[in-house]
Amino acid sequence: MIEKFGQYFILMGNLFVRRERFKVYFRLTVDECIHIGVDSLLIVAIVSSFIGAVTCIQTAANLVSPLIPSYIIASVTREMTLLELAPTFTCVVLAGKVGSNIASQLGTMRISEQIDALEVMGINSASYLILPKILGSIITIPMLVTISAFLSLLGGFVAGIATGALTAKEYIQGIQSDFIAFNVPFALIKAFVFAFLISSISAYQGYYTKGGAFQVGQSSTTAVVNSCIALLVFDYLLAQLLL
Amino acid sequence: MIECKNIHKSFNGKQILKNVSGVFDQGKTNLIIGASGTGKSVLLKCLVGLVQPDEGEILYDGRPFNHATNQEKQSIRREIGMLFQGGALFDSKTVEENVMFPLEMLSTMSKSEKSDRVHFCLQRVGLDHAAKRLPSEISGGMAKRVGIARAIVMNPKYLYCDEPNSGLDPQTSIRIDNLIQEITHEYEMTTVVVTHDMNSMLEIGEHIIFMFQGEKIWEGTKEVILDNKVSALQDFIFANKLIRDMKEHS
Repeated sequence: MIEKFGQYFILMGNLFVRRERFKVYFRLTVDECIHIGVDSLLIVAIVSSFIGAVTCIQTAANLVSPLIPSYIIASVTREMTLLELAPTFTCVVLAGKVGSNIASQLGTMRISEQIDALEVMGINSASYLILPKILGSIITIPMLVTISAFLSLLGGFVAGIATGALTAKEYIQGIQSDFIAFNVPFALIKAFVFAFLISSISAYQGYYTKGGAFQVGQSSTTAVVNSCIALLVFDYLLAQLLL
Repeated sequence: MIECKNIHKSFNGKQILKNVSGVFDQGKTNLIIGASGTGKSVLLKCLVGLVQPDEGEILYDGRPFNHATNQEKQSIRREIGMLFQGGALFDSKTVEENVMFPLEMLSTMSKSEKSDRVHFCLQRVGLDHAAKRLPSEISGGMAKRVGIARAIVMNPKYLYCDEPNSGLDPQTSIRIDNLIQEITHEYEMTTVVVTHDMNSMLEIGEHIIFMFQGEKIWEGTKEVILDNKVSALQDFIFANKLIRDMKEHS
């Protein structure tokens, strides 16, 4: 376990030694932004919209007291979305999609000797392959989280009005009332940290794959599991530290 | 010239290489032969720096390699071309892009110079027509030839080939062997080929090292290998009926 942590930190350190030209990283990072960010838009949009809708309906179903004004439903939806659902839930979904993709891609490159080929050419394979993935993730995942938060609130709005739980005016009032501005940077800080964790842990699992196709599958699964555990641990730590 | 001196390597307490020494001359096709699991590939990986030997020294034209700094290693590695067993082509890149890759990453050539060089190398291995295909769209033999083109595109001084004939039919295998030998002579490279292919050994083995249980136990040329008196080497060579018959009739 300790050895694996050490290996992970050494790998992270190796990303910044024997680097290639800036132009190379720029091109690769743009590719990764498209691969990680743009290609994940649909799944993030679907998940976020439904999560927002479900949160709104379930909150409405539980707030049955006539003493609680209806706009509180929107306030609760907003708080849950910004603090937890948009950053954490989106990143758990992305750990499954992006994390497994990174791990299986690097794992396949490892077992088919493509990583060795890079090393023999005198290229720092870790830096060339992993750094653009991490940069691509920390650029696009906070953007996805922002989109997710917006769509989640929109989903809540549509569901709230469609079910008659509250009016459009009440919903708008609810999401504006007692708004804590820090929740937005907090969600983005979480997104940055989670983006780094998902990409680096998955890359580590894939990069050190040994064996064949079966082990690539195992690396991919381990990448998702470890990323999710790390997300939850850091979710707790960030909440404890920043709120 | 590549030299390795007293190379030792163990994995999980099991000794894989035991005091292996050898000299691989420039302009020659140097073969490392031996049965599966005798340490040939580990020796090759030590030579190219993919595996760090526990003990011993590796020298490229007198320049220390395994004890060198990362920067020194990198500069030596840029003089090395390697053909991997499975080709190790980048799946997402076309044949042309695969061959172009080392130039894109490591050279300061202009775009047109790079393109000319890539097409020259592809022509040299007879694959100019397949430039736009993906690795998944070409045969195993073609993939090996693309691997050779990629290995020579930077004009390397040292060429390594790991099992260049594995998974190939005899005719393609001979074609690959001949290509390796021609390139070695043409560019005066130091070529090291790891193989257990008997045809390769008798075709291109200008200098042969035989490995057995992690040790070098015989060294010579293709002209004298059939007359060797080492029992392990005899068992290895004459396991093949064709060669056994050849020996009996000679």
